[in-house]
Amino acid sequence: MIVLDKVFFKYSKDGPWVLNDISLQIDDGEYVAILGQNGAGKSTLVRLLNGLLHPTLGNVYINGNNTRKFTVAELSKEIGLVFQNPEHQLFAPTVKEELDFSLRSMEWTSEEKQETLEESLNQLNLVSLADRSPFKLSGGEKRRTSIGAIWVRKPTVLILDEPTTGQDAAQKKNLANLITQLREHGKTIILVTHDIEFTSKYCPRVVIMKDGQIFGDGPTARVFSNKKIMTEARMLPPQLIRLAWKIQESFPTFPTPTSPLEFSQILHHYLQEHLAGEVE
Amino acid sequence: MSFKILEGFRYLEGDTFVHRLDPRVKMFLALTFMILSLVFDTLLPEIILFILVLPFLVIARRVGRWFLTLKGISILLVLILVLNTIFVTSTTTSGFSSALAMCMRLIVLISCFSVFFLTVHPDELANALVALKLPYSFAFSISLSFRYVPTLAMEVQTIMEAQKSRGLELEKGGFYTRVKNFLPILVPLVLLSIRRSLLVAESLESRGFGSSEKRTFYQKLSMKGKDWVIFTLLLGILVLGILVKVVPNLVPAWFLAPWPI
Repeated sequence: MIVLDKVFFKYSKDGPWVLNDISLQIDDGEYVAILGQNGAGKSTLVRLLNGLLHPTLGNVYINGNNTRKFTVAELSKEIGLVFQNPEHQLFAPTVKEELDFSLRSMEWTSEEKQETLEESLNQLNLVSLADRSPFKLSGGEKRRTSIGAIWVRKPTVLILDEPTTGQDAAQKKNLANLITQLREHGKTIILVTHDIEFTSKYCPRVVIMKDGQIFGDGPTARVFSNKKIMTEARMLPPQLIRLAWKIQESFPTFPTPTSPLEFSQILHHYLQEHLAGEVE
Repeated sequence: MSFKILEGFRYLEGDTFVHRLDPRVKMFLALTFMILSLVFDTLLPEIILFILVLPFLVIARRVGRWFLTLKGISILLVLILVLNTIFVTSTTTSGFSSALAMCMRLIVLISCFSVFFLTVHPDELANALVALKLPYSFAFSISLSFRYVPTLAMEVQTIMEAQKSRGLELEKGGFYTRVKNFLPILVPLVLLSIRRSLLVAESLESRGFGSSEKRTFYQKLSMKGKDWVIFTLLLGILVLGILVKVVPNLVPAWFLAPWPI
């Protein structure tokens, strides 16, 4: 379980508060997306989770342990952070060696390491790429390799920073499938993203940040359909909700749907109820 | 590891007497102090050079930045001091003074180039190099490389964070392990830099870089009265310094002699 308790953070003594009174709890096995405009504090927040940064005030607890008492290397065994650009991470001659490098600091036996390595290659569909150079892979394959390099350490929490940036629709679908597959192992998944459509489709919980504060937190559909939160956080809601809001300008009683299926049901019902009378 | 070491070489906007000087004069300042610091190898002349260059940093209000770089290289200074004292003492009686002179030489070199890079905008640098008859493409490449220093420093920071997040411990282990640990930082950095250089080249070409042989400049450099005064002063220091070194008995022997420590 991750707990942020009244966390404040600034990069320099005289600088502004980048995180301003953040309290947040993420339970084991949750799938959460953190959204917000550029500069809202999303990336800073996740860097506090694996100890790359420590709060200026307040505390961060991972499974009850205060992050101040641990090094990044120790925390990275629990919290796996996959950076936005896979090229900031890849350096080894082959995909297999790339994953193997992440295992070096783990205190496991060589048999355990070998077993985990092969298991991870399998789970991430990297077996056919194992002997290829990471630099000659496609964007999606590089992304998978960078996730694999973190996944192989078996962290309980996997944080993905902007995983959908520069990915086409098919790659996004593959990523969503991969996350679903990883969740089956009971891991907590945290996405830092700008991708509203991806979030609305796949993430059950969303945290909206604005000016270093948490501006909205709750079930994705409920937060995204909250006009006040979305407008004040200067975020464009998913197309479905925007369409509903547009309809509401002419038909104020038209409900805001939470899924395409619900939208079609509402539309069907609404047309039957309102327009049928007019036709008669 | 921090990249504060580069702070003393990163241009910062300012409006002081030193900032307003012609970039060619500041280039001449850096060259003068570089040549003189290399010409002399004893402590007293190096201290005098340091005393002469320091006012430029004070007037430019950049002592804090310069000091960050000095702090960054403090380990190197200690290493120079220790190694020179050990190995030079075995041949002469003034090992410690020679070691101090070597350290002072490095400080003078850093200081004079700090004055230059802290107060000369990369665009001014390109203009100054062109004014010195260097082909524009070379001048532009040099100014561009300095402009990318902060970007590169940020990139190193991100790569280090990415590798630390997968268990890399840069501060652990012996000398060999620490050197080896930098491989996961260097490989992505070099690859990303090469990729960026290709993108920048394509972007420049698509904007017509190099299409006209003779180009004009928005800002024209012109030497003003104060520039000539400082230039003359620097020229005087350079000539005097070289004369002191090459003409025998121009100054008392103790001035150039190593200190007996």
